[in-house]
Amino acid sequence: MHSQNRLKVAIIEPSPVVREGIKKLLDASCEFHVGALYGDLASFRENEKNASFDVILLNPSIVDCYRQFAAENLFSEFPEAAAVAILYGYVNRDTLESFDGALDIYDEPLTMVKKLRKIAKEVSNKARNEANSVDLSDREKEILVSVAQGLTNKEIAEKHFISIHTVISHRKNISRKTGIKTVSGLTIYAVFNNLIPMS
Amino acid sequence: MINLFSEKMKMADLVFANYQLLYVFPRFDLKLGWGESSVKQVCEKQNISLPLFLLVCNLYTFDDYLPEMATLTRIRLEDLMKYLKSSHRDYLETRLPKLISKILNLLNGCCVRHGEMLMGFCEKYRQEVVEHFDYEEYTVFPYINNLLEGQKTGKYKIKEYERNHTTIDTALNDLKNIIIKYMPMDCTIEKCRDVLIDLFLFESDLSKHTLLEETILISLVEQIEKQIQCTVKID
Repeated sequence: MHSQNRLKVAIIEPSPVVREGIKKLLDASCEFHVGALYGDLASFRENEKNASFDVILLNPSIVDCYRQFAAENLFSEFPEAAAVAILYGYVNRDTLESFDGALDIYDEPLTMVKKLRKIAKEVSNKARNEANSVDLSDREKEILVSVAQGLTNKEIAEKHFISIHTVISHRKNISRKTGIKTVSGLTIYAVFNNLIPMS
Repeated sequence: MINLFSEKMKMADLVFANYQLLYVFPRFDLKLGWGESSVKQVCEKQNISLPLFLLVCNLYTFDDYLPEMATLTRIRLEDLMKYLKSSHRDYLETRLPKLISKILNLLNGCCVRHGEMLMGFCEKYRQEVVEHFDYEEYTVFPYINNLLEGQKTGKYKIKEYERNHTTIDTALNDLKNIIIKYMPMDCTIEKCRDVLIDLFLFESDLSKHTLLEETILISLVEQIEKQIQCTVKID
């Protein structure tokens, strides 16, 4: 199978041995191709800003020190990717719930590949359904109205009690769904769809 | 390997291969009546820079085309700037006004306030394009002219232009999305089609124009900057 048909995987795992081990295992299967290997979140973010992945394998212990919402933001930056936790031992359940699935490091290689395949398939089905529903979520509509009113990201964050990072991530999703990037374009969208009264 | 246009080809065949070149030709002051003449013959007769003409036609026609260094060195910057300026005029004086008046037409019968908003959007875009071209014509091109005359220049470097070269196609893309997805139901496809096709053509033309500036213009100027730096060092 050609590499373009394989699912593209990123691994973010502090242990080089585990990292390389998983890479070897996945590359050997003809379904996955590991395109990025990182020891920490910051360098992954820095270098892969514009990349797209089908699967992001992440050690949750890194997420803990960044706090859970940091991981959620990461996942919203890569909305199409399946976020999969690499499990060694106990992980806080709340943290685990923000992932799409988990791989146990002690699993047999074949089981691991099978599990990953299943998770990736579920996520891509879900993403396809979401992409079909072009409608913005209620939260996104609220943010859009603020954008149309000319508020800055900082002002929007304060108004809605969310971080600037979350505002940016909402705006990215709004533009992705509507196909409209400029503020004046979004304002027209908001008026055409009766989200704000014409004034 | 793509079969690029060459000077031996018949001029008419260029149009048969890519009719969008009909937008490009007037910027070279190219006139019709070629008969079976070759590109080279027509260019010589009508006093058009052959290397630049071929480069532009190839760039506008073949998506993967990137000229080789040998081709680039045959381009005179004066000719290139003249062509770019004449494209700017074409965009501002002909194509954009036509596009906007078509959008205006589309809005006849549409809710007045919606119409006003879209017109405001178009006017804002037109202003953005004017500013973009003004920067090039009043800052970048004079800088290049100074370089060509061998004058010492201030701190400005073409790198700065490269950094500041904003895209002016985002708003166009928004407009396409608004018309295709969000125009009120009573607007028929037949009514929108004309505007949309113009939008698509204008957008693809602009993207080639940007490519011409970002790859060809910048790399030619960078070479001159390097040469000048070398001579300064030798002095």
